[in-house]
Amino acid sequence: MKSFNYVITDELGIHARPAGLLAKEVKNFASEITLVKGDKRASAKGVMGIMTLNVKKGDTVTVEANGSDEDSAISSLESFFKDNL
Amino acid sequence: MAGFFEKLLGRDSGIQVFVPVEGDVIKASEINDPTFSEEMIGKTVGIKPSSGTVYAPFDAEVLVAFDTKHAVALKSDDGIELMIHFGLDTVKMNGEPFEMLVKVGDKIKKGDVIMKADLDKINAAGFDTVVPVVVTNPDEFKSIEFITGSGVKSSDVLAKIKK
Repeated sequence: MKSFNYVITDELGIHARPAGLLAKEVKNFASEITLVKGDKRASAKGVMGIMTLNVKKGDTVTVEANGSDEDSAISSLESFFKDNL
Repeated sequence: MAGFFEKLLGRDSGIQVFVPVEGDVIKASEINDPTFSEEMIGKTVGIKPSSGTVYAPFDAEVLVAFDTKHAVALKSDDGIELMIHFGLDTVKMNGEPFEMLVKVGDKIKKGDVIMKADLDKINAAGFDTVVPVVVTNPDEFKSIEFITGSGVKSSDVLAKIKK
């Protein structure tokens, strides 16, 4: 399992559009990818799961990847968060 | 005989999703935002609202009620996950034209008023008032059919979904 932490800098947090983009990005990987905020966890494959975490500016999230392509998933997702969130 | 009762009970046509916002129903491709026109979040339809009242389109539990009050997501008792997003880019209005009448975890009944939007304020701020309605878990259903039309009321059916 690989993971990274990220502090959200986007003013609007993870609302509908970034949630859609993130779920789309996650579907490129075979690994199971989980978004964690505090004690709440959600699969990042589903838009609704991502949105239920209610991620806002300043929140720290952990992205976990578990599977055969976890290395490439983590490096792609780190770039994704930096570019979009 | 069983088939007759299925029809009588309306099961034949699938699960009904009623109109959450009154107005004119348009296709996803006519929504001026790629998030919705390209159906990035799920199976999508749009409503050009004639009023700012949002009704529960089925019996459901509230999954997401954004702090910015511009969108709400529900899970129906049949497992349909539906997002009702009031206006385009209205997340940027920071809740100002909206009133959210439910919170996460609330159980709601079809026809309950769950949210209110001030159309004049949204228009005045230069945002599009169109309301994308999105089934975010379309893979869990056999078919999702949206019914487009003008001047739809909350008593009309917006979508028929088959398991």
